[in-house]
Order: sequence, then structure tokens, then C-alpha cells
Amino acid sequence: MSAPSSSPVPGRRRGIQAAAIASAIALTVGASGFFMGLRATSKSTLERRQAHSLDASGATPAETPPADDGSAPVAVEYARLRETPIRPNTDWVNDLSRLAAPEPARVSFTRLSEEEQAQIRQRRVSRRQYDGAPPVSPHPIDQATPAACLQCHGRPTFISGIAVPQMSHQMHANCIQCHVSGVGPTSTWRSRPVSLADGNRFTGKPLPGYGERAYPGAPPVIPHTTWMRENCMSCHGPTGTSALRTTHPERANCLQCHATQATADQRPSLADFSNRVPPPLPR
Amino acid sequence: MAINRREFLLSSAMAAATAVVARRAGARPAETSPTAVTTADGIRWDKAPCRFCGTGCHVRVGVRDGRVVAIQGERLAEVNKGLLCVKGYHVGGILYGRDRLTQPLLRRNGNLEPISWESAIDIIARRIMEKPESFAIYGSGQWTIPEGYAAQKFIKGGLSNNHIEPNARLCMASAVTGFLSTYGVDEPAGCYDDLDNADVVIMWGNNPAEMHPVLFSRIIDRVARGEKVMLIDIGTRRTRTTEFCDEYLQFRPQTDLAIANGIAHLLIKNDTWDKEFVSKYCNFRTDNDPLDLFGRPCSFEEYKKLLEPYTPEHVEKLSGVPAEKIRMLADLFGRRDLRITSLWCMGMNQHTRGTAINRLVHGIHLLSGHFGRPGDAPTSLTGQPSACGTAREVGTLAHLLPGGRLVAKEAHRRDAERIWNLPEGRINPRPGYHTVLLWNKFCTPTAEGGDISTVWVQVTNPGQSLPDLHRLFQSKKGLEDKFLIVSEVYPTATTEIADLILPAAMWVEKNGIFGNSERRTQQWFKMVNPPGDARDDAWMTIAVARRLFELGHPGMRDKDGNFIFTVRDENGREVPIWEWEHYYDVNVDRALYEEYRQFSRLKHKDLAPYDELVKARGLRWPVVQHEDGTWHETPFRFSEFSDPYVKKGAGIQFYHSVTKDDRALIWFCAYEPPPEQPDADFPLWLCTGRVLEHWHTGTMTMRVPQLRNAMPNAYVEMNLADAAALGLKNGDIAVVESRRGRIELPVWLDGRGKPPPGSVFVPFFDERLLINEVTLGETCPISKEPDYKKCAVRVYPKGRPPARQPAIGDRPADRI
Amino acid sequence: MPTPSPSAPPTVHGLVITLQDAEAATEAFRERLRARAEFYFGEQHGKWLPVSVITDAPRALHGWLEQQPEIAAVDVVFVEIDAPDSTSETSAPSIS
Repeated sequence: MSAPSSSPVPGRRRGIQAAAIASAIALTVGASGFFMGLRATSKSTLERRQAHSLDASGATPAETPPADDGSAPVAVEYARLRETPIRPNTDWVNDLSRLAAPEPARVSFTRLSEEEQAQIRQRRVSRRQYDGAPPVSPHPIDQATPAACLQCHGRPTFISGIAVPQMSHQMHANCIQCHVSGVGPTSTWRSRPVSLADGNRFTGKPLPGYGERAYPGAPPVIPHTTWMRENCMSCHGPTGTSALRTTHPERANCLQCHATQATADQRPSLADFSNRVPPPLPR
Repeated sequence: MAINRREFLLSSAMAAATAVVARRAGARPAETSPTAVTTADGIRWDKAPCRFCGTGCHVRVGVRDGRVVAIQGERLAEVNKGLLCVKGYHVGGILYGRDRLTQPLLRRNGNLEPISWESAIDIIARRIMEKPESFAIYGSGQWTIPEGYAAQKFIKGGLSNNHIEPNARLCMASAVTGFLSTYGVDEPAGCYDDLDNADVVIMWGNNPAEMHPVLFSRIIDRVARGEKVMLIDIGTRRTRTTEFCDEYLQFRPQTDLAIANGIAHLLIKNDTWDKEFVSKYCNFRTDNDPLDLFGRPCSFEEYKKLLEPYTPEHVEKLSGVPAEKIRMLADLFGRRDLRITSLWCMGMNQHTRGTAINRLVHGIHLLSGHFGRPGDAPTSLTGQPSACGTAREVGTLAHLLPGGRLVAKEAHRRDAERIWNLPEGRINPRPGYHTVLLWNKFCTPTAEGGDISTVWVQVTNPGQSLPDLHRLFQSKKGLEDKFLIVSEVYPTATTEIADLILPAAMWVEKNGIFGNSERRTQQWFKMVNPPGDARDDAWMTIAVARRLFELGHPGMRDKDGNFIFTVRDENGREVPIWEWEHYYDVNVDRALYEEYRQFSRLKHKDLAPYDELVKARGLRWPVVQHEDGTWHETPFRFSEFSDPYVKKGAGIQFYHSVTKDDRALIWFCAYEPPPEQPDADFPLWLCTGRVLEHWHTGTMTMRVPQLRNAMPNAYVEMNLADAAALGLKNGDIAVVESRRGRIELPVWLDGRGKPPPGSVFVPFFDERLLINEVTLGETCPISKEPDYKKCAVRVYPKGRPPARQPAIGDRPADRI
Repeated sequence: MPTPSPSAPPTVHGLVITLQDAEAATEAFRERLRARAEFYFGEQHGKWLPVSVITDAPRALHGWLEQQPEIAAVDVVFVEIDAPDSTSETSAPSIS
């Protein structure tokens, strides 16, 4: 009854294409809906927006005029905020050469040294109660709207040479529901953070270690859950927070070769189903 | 095996459509196992509801080597669909604070000294034996259902004493009186599914972005997916929630009453009220003088007349909300094509007219017919994990018996005595003291009428959460004959002055059942052992009861002379559950719950059998068995399409109606000014509340480093203009002072919330900065719930008090 | 675009039906749909109902669906583009 597996099956292929196109459309609609849906009613925010019209031309700070005429300085992208003097500054011009320096060439895929890997792991652990916990942010959180978070975490970014990880999961509109600052609520807050090791004896699930390989050279399986970690590049990409970085970032479909594990994902085992017959097509 | 091409295409088409639907509905395919699993890394994962708020999210708890090591959002849970908030993700840490209490401690000559469990139980029993009528139990919505039920049966069925109250009196008593006086029966008709269907969500003095973040995300994630949902914040200060809202209506404290009346006024004036709904399902009612729970009937004509003064312009004058915005609200309610959900929590409940504002919000939903369809609901949220399950349903309040029965009603007492197998007349017909009165009596010398001598506190922290703390808690110090017993997990403001401290097991260190805000009953199993000598609260209650039984207290026996907490194993043999070594020989939770379940039928709050709860991620009552033996929950109460107790063809039926005619009541309650208002001496409004990172009094969350670092201490939030006028800058230390007390706090300007000029906000989680030494002890006359949301204070920089000194002590007369 | 002739072969479509509200998909409603064409119903989430349908007049059916009082909108998410041919009747590679 079976056709040779090499022969194309028109209905099937087109069906899948149609589904893929439909999903893409649905995702696009969802994403644009999200951005259209973002709202900030704070009057002061609106006023600020009008006063500091966004630098839509993509001009670097070097091209913006010094604001010593008493007018408000032109706003820059969040990604450039750290390297932009906020106030009118007499040294503005002198700083230009330094500011114009190219971003450090960190976007390379050379293997990390053991030492670097250990550092990265340490940093990763220090920001999570256990593997799988939402990380606390190493910076204060001054803005409460998701738009502010997405400025830096919506895509992989470097800010002053510091890699900023992209969200690892699909968009949820209230970022600070799960991610709080590890250094006090805002930059104006004068608190001394409590060490995560003090005061509490909780010991979290450790990093998952390496995934098994079927044989040398085989793609390793994924040893952790992929729940809330759907975007592999968030951790394993060039700006990732994991010590384990991909050697082949050009291949986008990670799960094609790296298999998720039913046990890591707590999927139902055969025992849950063995006494059930597969349900018929609903009618 | 080849698949038929057509079937293949059909299933591909279905897969594509299902995937789109799942994304639209915000659901993700449930891929996790419904039963406990052990993953390859040796971690065993099992379900439990989160320990914190009343949302009732389910978590997966990862346990290895007898310790909790990880937490995940439960993907199978309908409440949270795999998502949690930052507290939920870090809930495992609350078990492992370094200063967990691990042994019973008795205060001798001012010092706490370790004693054995045996002596501790004996001391309590003997104190009760001596004066059973002056003993009280004070618990909370953090009690599991079986724990609260055990305490309830012990004191009301055993000691014939009704002095049992929960923290819930400080939290949602006004919601209860609102439901009772409107529908004749407690708890919301709607559920969280309303949030998926509403076109308009109105938050009345509510900040769910911080307090019920998972529910709030359920709404704003819909917006993010491109759905049109209008969010309206009616509040007294800008919050994180405001930032997501389309409309922000800022009102002067207390004038929410006027706004609600203004909406009703316009619905009638514009003739947009739902005449069909009202004529079929509603009656009208208004207050008696003095105020009481059920008021007096009134005609539609009288109702209309009473509303006449509340023109948009008049409401604007009272509330500060522009008349056009009142019109906008009335226009929304006047449209039947929209689905409108109202949400509220402490803003409406902690209110000296809490019952009234609850009634009025139900009233505008009924008057406009925005009731009973998915998305059309007035829904109150709760702050504690089992405020509904334990406090309201088990009825651990001074006037209630389990299942919505009243202490004062003879038939209800007989009913309880029958289920408990007690001699007739055992239950005392006189309600006990409500919370504020109970603590007032405890803190008053016996010679001056303070007739409560011993209080046993379980699962809560009144030393921090009561209002007006100097008067209602701290003045116990020095009263020699008063004795405070506290079951706790950590040292708190309450254990500070306790005479006997009992170390308690918490959360997954014991079996438990919670009931959340949407009538959902949720069960979990013990997963790890408590530290040291810590034990279950229900065990402590049963052990004391057994000691009293041995000492010969007659109330500890039922009609047949058996111990009132007799639990038998499957062979019918009695298990000595009062001995800790045998407590887990049987599932005591299951036994207590199944006994309690018999109480749930009277008010049609039918609870599911324990074994059904084990399989589910919570079930919403009434849970009714079908002919095929399966059990089915009820998402929407009183609506025919969902509630099996509604008569066929009725559409909507309020089958516990106050007026016994299946109709709900639309109330008119007048706006009245608050008991304390800012004046020349105390010119600012003080509002108190919570923050996202900390839960209740912070005793658990302040011990989780991630949460503590995110919000390390309390603060006073001020308006920039007020701060500038007082010479206060960000981070300066300010004194916040009322007629009742003063504390020093750092100033936070332009912070998380933004109070309007003339008002300040202070969170109450920080035990080092007790804002409740400043708050007002005034209560709603009907619900007896105190108002934490408004009192008059003055604020000044530390060390620079204003020249004019008010006469401290000219407090409003106690009206308790 | 030519209207399909009555003899056009039936094709398979995946649709997402947005209902007026979550309770609209009653059995009577489903029956009414089935009377019109070969409908298969998936699991409803909220007010969205996934269906697959076999019909020889998709356009007319789509128009008819949108007329139904219970239905707020219909989205097409899957379309079978080609007519079946004789070789594809037994399809899908065998699973060894």
C-alpha cells in the first residue's frame, strides 16, 4: 500500500506549506498587534516623548548638536544610552572620537576558554535561584513598561561591549511580573544587596550539564526543558548567557538536529497512555 | 501503514486550525504529564498550588534528596497556564530561611526557652481548661481547608465558644457582606474565564499588575495578541496597572461610592438600564438606619429618587473625576454588545463603607444586565491563598458555621451538631468577637472588661497586619494574665511578644487543600519533611483537643463518647493521630475534608471528593456528579448554560436570593464622607498596600534573597510637589505621623506608584517599619473590616517637625 | 476568477471560526453545519473553534458560514490547492 518514499506527495507538501504560511501570518498579526497594543498613558511620558523626538534618522550621537543652547538634548536609542552624555557638556566635542569607536568585535564564534566558561557559568548561577528560575536583572529597573525592556532585550544587542541577552521565550506583556532587579528597585535606590548565599539555605537545581551524544560527532540532545526557553539563541547565540555557544549560528532550526528530551520536559510517559487507544478523528 | 490521503489532509487542516486557535486563546499545548514524574536528573516533580495570593496558580515543585530544588509554572493549570509571577518562581526559597523555628519555645522571665512538645500541648490545654470561654483562635486564609476546619470544629463544636476569627476579616469581610446582601450567598458568580472574554475590564482601586500579576497578564497578553480590550483604572494613585490602561480616573478617597451612584443615575436617566434583566431577576433595596446587612426593600421609584442627586456634575464635585468620564462609564455599561468585567480587591474592601461600595458595583452590573455571560461579571479578588476556601467556606469567622451556616440560626446549629454527632445545644448561639474587638479585648486588662485572656494565633502575623497596632496589639505587653500562643515558621512581629511559640510545618511540608478566588478547590501532597521539630497546625489543634479529652473536658467527646477527631484506617481501627509519630499513618487531610464536604451542599457549594481533587488542577464548585459517575465543575454560577442548579429555561436564577424569589438585590447606598479626613494638623491622605515582590507581612518573601534585593525595605511614596514643599528629596528620611503613631521612612519620588498631590503611600510588608502603628482602627459597620486605605497623616523631614504641634490624642471616638 | 463548476472535486480546508461567544457552538449549530458539508470539529478554546471541512464549493460555504448568527468571523488557515490525482490516493511514506 505504500508509495516509494522518494516520490513527492503533492497534497502533503502543499498542505504543510499552507500551514506554514498561515502560521507566519498569524505570528505577524500577533506581533504587530502587540506593538500596536502597547500603551503608555503616563502624561509625563507623553510630554517627554514630544520634547525628545526619537532619533529616527539613525544619526549617531556624534551628529547631534550639543545642547548648550538650553534646549533639551536629542534622545538616542536605549542601546546607546550608556555611551551618551545626558546633560549638555563642554567636553562633548572632545568625547566624540572615543564615542565613534567601533563596537568591540565580540561577535565571533571562537571557542571560549575554560576560564571564560567558568566565569559565565558563575554569572549565570548568581542570577538564578535554580536552573529554570527567571533571572534577576543585574541592573536597576527604572522603567516599568515592556517597551523599555524590549529596547534592549527584544533582539540580541551589545551595549558598550556588554552582551545583552534576548528574551528566551515568547512575549509576555508584563516583563517585571517575573524579572526583578537584583540591585534594588531603581537607580535612585540606595540599598546594599543581600548576598544570595546569606540568610537562606535553599539550594537550587544546578545547571543541567552537557547533553548526551549518541556517538562522537552526533549532535547532543537538549538536557533541559524547553519550556520558556523556546529561543535557543538567547542563551546559546553570540550574546548568550550560557557558556555553551553554538559553533554554527548560521543554522537557524536548532531542534532539527538537537532533540528535546521527554523526561526533561516532563512529558507523559508511555505508562500514561498504554491503556488508551489513540482517539479517532473528531467528527 | 499508509494513511489515506484525505484523512491526512483533514488532520493537517485540523492541526493548522488548532495551532492558530491555541495561539489566539493564549493556550499552549499541554505536553506535561498529569501525574508526578521523576526526570533523568533525579528530580521528582509534583503539583501544588502556590503558597502566596488568592489567584491560585499551580506550580510544579521539583524535589531531590528531600529538598525543594526547583519550581516551574504548571502548564496543565487553567488558572496560570504555565506562567507564574516572581514570587511564585521563588516560592521554594521560603522553606529554607536560616531562622526557621524548629522547637517549641516558652517565655520564662522574659526569655524564650526550649520546651518539649508534650509540655507545650499540656500548657495550652490547661489554660483552656481553666477558662474555656475566654480563649480565642486567630487564623487566616493561609490555613489549609482541613486546618481551618479542625480549628473551627475544636472551638465551636468542642469548646462551645465562638471566638474564632481569621485575618480574612481584615481582608475581604466587606466582599462577603457585599455578596451576601446582593445574592443571598457568598462568593463570585463569575470566574477567571471572564478575563478571556471581557471587552472592558474596570479595576476599582485595584492594582493587579503587582498584586495579581498572572491574572493581569491574562488580560494584557490578549491585548498583545491584537485583541481589543479596554482597560479602565479607577484609582486614587497611579500604579503599574495604570500604565497599561486606556483610561485612568483618579478619585478622592471614599468617593468611589459617588462614582458608582453616578453611573446608576445615568443608566436610568439615559434609559439604558436593562429593563428585561431587572424585571426578571432583580429587586431593589436600600439601607436602614442604623445600617445592617439586609436593609429594607424599596421600590424602583424610590431607588430612582435616591439616585437623583448623583448627576455627573455633582459626582465630579465630590470625586474629582470629570463629568464626561462618568458619562463614558455609564455609556459603556449602557451598551449590551460589550462584555464588562469589574475587578476589585482591598481598595473596595478595606473601606469604612466597604459593604456599601461592594453592593453598588454589583448593583450597576445588575442594573445594566452585565451579568451572567462570560466576560460580564463583577468579580472580587482575594489576597490569601485560601481566603475563600478556608475563611469563607469553612466559615472560620465568629458568626459562621461551615458551609455558609450562621451561629445565630438554630436550624444551622442543629445541622452542624448532627454532622458532628454532638449533643443538641452544644454550639453556643452567641457569635464571638470580630477581629478588631477580639484584639481590643485581649489588650484590655481583665479588670476593665478585657474578657479574652488567651489567644492562639495560627498561620498569620497580627503583630504587623492589624491596624492601629499600639492599641490593638502592643498594649498586651505588661498584662500579666494574658497569654499569647503563636504557631509560626519564622520569628515575626507577633512572636516578639508571644508567651509560647510552636514551630509549624508549611506548604509542601504537609498535605493541604486551598480554595482560590474563583471557587476552585486545590489539593496537594506533602513532599518534604519540615525542619527540626516543626509540625502541622492541624496536628497541634488535634493534640490539644486530645489533651483536653484526657483532662476530662466534656466538649471533646461526641454524643457517643468518642473523641471529636476520631480518624479510622481502612480496617476501621482508630489511629492515634494526636501522636505525631502516627499522624501520617492515615491521610488526616482526606478524613477532615470528607467530613467537612457534607457541609457544602446546603448553599449549593458542593465540593468535589478528595480523590477527584488529587487528579485535577483544582475544581470550581459546585462540582456535580453526572449519571455516568463523572464529576463536573461549574465555571459560571447562576447561569443556566453552566450551573446545573439553575432551573431549565430560567436563564439566570439567584437560587439563594435574600427575598426568596430567585432575584438579586440592586442596592442604593448613599455617599458619606470618611471618618477621618486631612485637616490643618494632619494635611495628607495615607494609603497602604502591597508590592509585587512581597506577600502580606513579608515574613516569607523577605527571607528569599532574590525578592528581598528587588525590594529591600518599605518607603513612603510622595507627590513631587508635596515633597518639594516639604524640602524632601529622593532617599531622605521622612517622618510619617498620624494621631495614633509615627514612623520614619525613606522617601521615594517618582517611584513605582505616583500619588496625587495631598496623598502618600506606604507598603506594609516591612516588619522593621510598621506602618500599621499609624493607620486607623475604624471599621465598616457591617463587615467590621478596618480601613487601611485612608487616614490623615502629616509628613516632615526627620528632625524638622513643623512648628504647629497638633494635640495628639484627639482621636476620633472608638466606635467599635 | 471562474466559479467552480458543480462537478469540481471536493477539497479540504482548515478554518478557524470565531464565535460570537464561547457558548455559541451548540450541538444544533454543529448539526446545521454538518448538514451543509462534511465538517470535522476540533477542540474549542474560548470563542475560537478549529474545523476542517470537505467541500466542492468553498467560496459559497465561506459566505454562508459568515451569515450564521453564531459566527463572528471565519479565517482560512489551510487550503488544499491541487486536485487529487490517481497516484496520490495512497500517500504518505511508509513508516518502517
